[in-house]
Amino acid sequence: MKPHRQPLVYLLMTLPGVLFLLVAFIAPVVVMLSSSFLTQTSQGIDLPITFSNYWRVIDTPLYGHVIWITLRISLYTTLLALFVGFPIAMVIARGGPFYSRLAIIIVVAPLVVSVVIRTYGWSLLLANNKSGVLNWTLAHLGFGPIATHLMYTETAVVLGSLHVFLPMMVLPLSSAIARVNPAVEEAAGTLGANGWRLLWYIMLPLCKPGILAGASVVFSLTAASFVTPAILGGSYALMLGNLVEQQILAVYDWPFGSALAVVMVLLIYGVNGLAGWAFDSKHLPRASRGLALRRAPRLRGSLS
Amino acid sequence: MKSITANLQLRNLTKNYGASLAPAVDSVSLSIASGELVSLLGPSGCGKTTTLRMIAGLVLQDSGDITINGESIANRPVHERNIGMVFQNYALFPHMTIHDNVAFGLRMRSFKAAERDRRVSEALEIVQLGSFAQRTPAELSGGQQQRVALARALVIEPSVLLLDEPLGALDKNLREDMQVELRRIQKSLGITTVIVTHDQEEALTLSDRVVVMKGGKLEQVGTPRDVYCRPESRFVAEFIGSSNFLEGTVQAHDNKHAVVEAGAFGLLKVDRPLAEGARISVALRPEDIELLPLETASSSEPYNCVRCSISEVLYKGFVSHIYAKTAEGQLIKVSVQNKVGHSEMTKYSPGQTYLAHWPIESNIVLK
Ligand SMILES: Nc1ncnc2c1ncn2[C@@H]1O[C@H](COP(=O)(O)OP(=O)(O)OP(=O)(O)O)[C@@H](O)[C@H]1O
Ligand SMILES: [Mg+2]
Repeated sequence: MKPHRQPLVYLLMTLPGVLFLLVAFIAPVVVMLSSSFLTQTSQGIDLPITFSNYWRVIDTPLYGHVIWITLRISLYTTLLALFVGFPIAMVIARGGPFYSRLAIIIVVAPLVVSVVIRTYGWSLLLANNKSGVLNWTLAHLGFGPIATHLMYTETAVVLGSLHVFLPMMVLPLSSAIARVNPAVEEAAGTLGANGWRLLWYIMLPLCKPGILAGASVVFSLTAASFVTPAILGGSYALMLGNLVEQQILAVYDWPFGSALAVVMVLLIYGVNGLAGWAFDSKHLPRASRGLALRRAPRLRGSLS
Repeated sequence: MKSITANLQLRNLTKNYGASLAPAVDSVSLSIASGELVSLLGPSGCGKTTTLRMIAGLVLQDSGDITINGESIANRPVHERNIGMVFQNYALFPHMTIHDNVAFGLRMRSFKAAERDRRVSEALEIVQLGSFAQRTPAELSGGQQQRVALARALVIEPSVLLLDEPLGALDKNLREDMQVELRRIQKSLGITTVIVTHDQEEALTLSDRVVVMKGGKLEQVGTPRDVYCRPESRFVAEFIGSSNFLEGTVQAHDNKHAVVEAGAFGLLKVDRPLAEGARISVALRPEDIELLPLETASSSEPYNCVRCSISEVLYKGFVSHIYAKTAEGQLIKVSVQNKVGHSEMTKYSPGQTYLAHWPIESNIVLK
C-alpha cells in the first residue's frame, strides 16, 4: 500500500532541496545568461545588450576548433567507458557475491581520491621524459629511451577522463543488467544465440536505458570538465571549460566567458537530446530499427 | 512444422552444486522414446529443474551422459543443442514483438526472411495467436504469453521439448485448458517432451509416463495408472493422491493371496503371496474404502474391514473427506463421492459408527 500524504506534506519535504537548487543553480545560470549578452567595460559589466560575444565564438576559428576537440574527447571517453564498463557491469550484476563485490570496490575506490590528485598521478605515468612511468617501463622492455609522448595530447585527456568518469557508466549499467531476467538470456541461448548474439540482440537492447543514462552522464561531465584537460591536455588539448576559465580568471572578460559557458551547456544539452532522439526507435520505420534501437522494455508484464 | 524422431537417454546423470551438499541430481538414468511425453514429478527441491536444465545445457552435469538418438549432447553448449525450452515465467523477449520473439530462433539459424515469416505464422496459428503477431509481450495475458513461449520453442523444430512448470502461473481453469492444448499440440507434432511439474494432477493428465523423483533420485517410473494404482513406495503413495498406511506381519499365504495381521485394522487379505513372518506395509486409497452401516454389514466379514467412528467430515464439492478413528484410536481417511440430490453430507456426521470395508485388490503392498 502507498502511504497517502497531503500535497502540502510533499511540498514541505521537497522545499529544502528546491531552495538549494534555486540558489545554487538557477541563480548563477540567470546571472551567466544575462551577462553573456552584455559588454565588459573598465568599470564592470554593462549595457548595451549585444550578440557580439556569441558572434565572436562563431567567428573565431580557434573557438570552433576547441568545440570540436571538446566533442571529440567527450565522445571517445564515452565510447571507451561503454566498452570498458560493460564487462565490469556484467560482473557486478551477474558475477556472484565475491566477484561482484570485488568489482564494485575496484570501480568505486578511486572516487575516494580527489580528481586533482588522480590526474597528477596520470601525469606521472604519462610524462614525456625518461622518468615517466610508462616510458621508463617501455625503455626497460627495449622500446628505446622515450617511446611515448602521450602527455599534453587528447589521448591523455581521454585516459584521465575515463578514469574519473568510469564509475558513472558502470553503476547505471550494472543496475540495468541486473534488471534483465536471466531466464530471458537462457531462452535466447536455447534458441541458438551464442555469446555475441546474446549480447547484441538481447542484452544491449534491454540495457538501453542504462546505457543511455551512463553515456549521458559521462559525456556531459567530460564535456564540462576542466581539471583533467588543464593538467593532462595543457595547451594542445584545450577544452571549452579551460577557455571559460581563461576568459573569466585571466582575461577578466566575464561576458565573453559567460557566452562560452552558455555555448558549452547548449552543446551538451543538444548532444544529449540528439542521442535520446536517435535511440528512441518510435520515429523509425520498423524494418530499419537496428538492434540497439529497439523499444525499451516495459516495466509491467513478462519480466516479473 | 515437422517433427523429428528423437529418443532421449539420460545415463547416470549427476549434479552436485557444492561438495558439502547432497547431490541435487543423483545418478539418474532414464530412457524416453521418440514422441513420448514424460513428466518429472516430485516435491520442491528434489532435482526436477536441475535435471531439465542439464538436458538443455543450462547446467553442466558433474558426470553421466545425455544422448539424443544415441549421440551424446552432454558437452555441447546450450546454443548448439537444438532444444526447445519453455520457462516457468515464459521469459519472452520484452523488447520484441510476438512475431520477432517467435522468429528469433529462426533468425539465429539464418533462415531467409520469407521462409521465416511463413514458419512464424504457422507456429502462431498452431497456438491460435495468429492475430497477435504485432503486439509486445506486455500486451498479452499470462495464458497467451505461455502460448507464445510454446510457439517460440516449437518453431525451431527442436529434437526435444522441455517445459519447466509451464502452467504454474496460470489459474486453475486456464491451466486445465492449456493442459488439453499442450497435449493436443505435442501429440500432433509427435515431439519428444519432458515436462517438470509438482502438480500431480497435471502429471497424470498430460503424461505417457510419470517419473517420480525424491532427493535427486528416481523413485518410480511408470504410466499414470501405474504410479497411482501401483505405487511401489510409501513416498509415491503419499505424494500422488493420498493414502492410509497399514503395517502388519504376514500370517499365512497360498499361491495367490496372503493374510496379514495388521493390529488395529484386523486381518488384511492381499492379492499376492508373501513370505510368512515378513513385516510389510500396505497403502490403501481413501476412495477405495466403503462405509457400511453396522446393522447392514455382515458381521462375519473376516478380512479388510474395521469398525470406526467418524471424527470429522470435510466437504470438498464432488467429494467429502471423512476422518474416522478405529477403537484403538488409529486414524483412517475415507473419501466418498457426493452427488447433488442425495446429500451425503447429512448422511455422514461426526460421532457415527460405521464398518469400513474394502476389496482385496485395494491393498497395495509397498516395497
Ligand atoms: N544454482 C544452484 N546453486 C546451488 N544449489 C542449487 C542451485 N540450484 C538448485 N540447487 C539445489 O539443488 C536442489 C535441487 O533443486 P531443483 O531446482 O532442481 O529442484 P526442483 O525439483 O526443481 O524444485 P522446485 O519444485 O522447488 O522447483 C535443491 O536442494 C536446491 O537447493
Ligand atoms: Mg524447479
